[in-house]
Order: sequence, then C-alpha cells, then structure tokens
Amino acid sequence: MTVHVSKLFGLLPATGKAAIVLLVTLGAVVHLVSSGDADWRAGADTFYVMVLLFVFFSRERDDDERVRELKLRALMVAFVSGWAFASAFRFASYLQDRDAVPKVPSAYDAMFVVLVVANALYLLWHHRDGRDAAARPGV
Amino acid sequence: MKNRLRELRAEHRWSQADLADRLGVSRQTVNAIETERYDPSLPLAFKMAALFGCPIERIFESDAP
Repeated sequence: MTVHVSKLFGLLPATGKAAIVLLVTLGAVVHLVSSGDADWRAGADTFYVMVLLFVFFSRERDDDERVRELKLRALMVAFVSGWAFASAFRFASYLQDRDAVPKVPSAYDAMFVVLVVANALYLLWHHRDGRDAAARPGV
Repeated sequence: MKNRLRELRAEHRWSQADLADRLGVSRQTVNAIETERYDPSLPLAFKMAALFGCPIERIFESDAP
C-alpha cells in the first residue's frame, strides 16, 4: 500500500506536488486557527504529516543524483528549522507563564514544520534549476 | 569546481537535453553542472569523460591551488 501511494505521488509533476503541499499547509493552518488551540493532536495532523512525507520521499520523474542531493540538503535545513520552531515554541510558552512547566510541541507538530520547510525548499531549488535551464536553451 | 562542459557540448552540437539523455540525468542536472552550482559524482564524471572521449581532467578543473 505504502509503495503504491509513493509511486502514485511520483507520477505527479512538480506543480502537482507544489499544489498538494500548499493545500495541506493551508488546511493545517485553517484547522489550527478554527480550533483556536495549538494542541491539534487529532487524526488530521497524522494525515497532514503522512501526505507531506509521501510527497517528499516519493520518486521523482527525473530522479537522479542532483534530485537526491537537493532533497538531502533541504532535509538538513528543515531539521534545523524544526529545532528552531520547537525552541521558539517552548520559549514562548515559558514567557506566557514563567511558573508553569513550559509546553513543548508534539512530534507531529515538529514533523509538520520540518516537512513543510523541506518540501518548500526542494521544490524551490528544483524549480530554480529548471528555470535556469529554460533560460539557456540549446547549444 | 570549474568545468568545460558547455564548451564540449557545443563542440558536439548537443543541446542540454541531448546531453542529459546520453548521461541518463535530467536537463536541470546538466544545467546545474554547467553553471557550476553542482559537482557531479565520480561515476557521472567518468560517464561524461567516456562520452566526450577525453580524460576527466580535460572536463573538470579543481579550484584548489
């Protein structure tokens, strides 16, 4: 099942993947705003994270060493972003109530941030490579 | 790392897409190498050398002094 879903995402062009990432991110933000609570540990966040995971780790149409290099680099930057997000969240919670034990984001929250950043960076860098190639056509 | 990929490609009158097909990579990857934003792996560099029929040192030049 997992392999089939991954292959299905792999068939999508970059624009399709970008649209899915955008929709899932918007969906999560709307969910967060409408529930009025940062603690959105329901089935929905699992869905958001799973979709982003499949989009990021699915094979590309033109899967080569450059694609793998860009994905690895995007993941490295995204992990630092996730750590910064978790630290900022904890610090904000501490500032709100200095006597209470500071809240920490759930693993799903952190994964969501990491995957949104990773997908966005990869799609941006891959698009930049394509744009430059289109700007210098032929010999 | 500096390279002469664009020059060699022009000598053979190949487009980026032609070279990408021959190397089994995407056109974006060829462009990233030509613009020196990406250094290819050793197997890909050997493939380029074999394709152009010249040693790797003729295609790539190290930045190191």
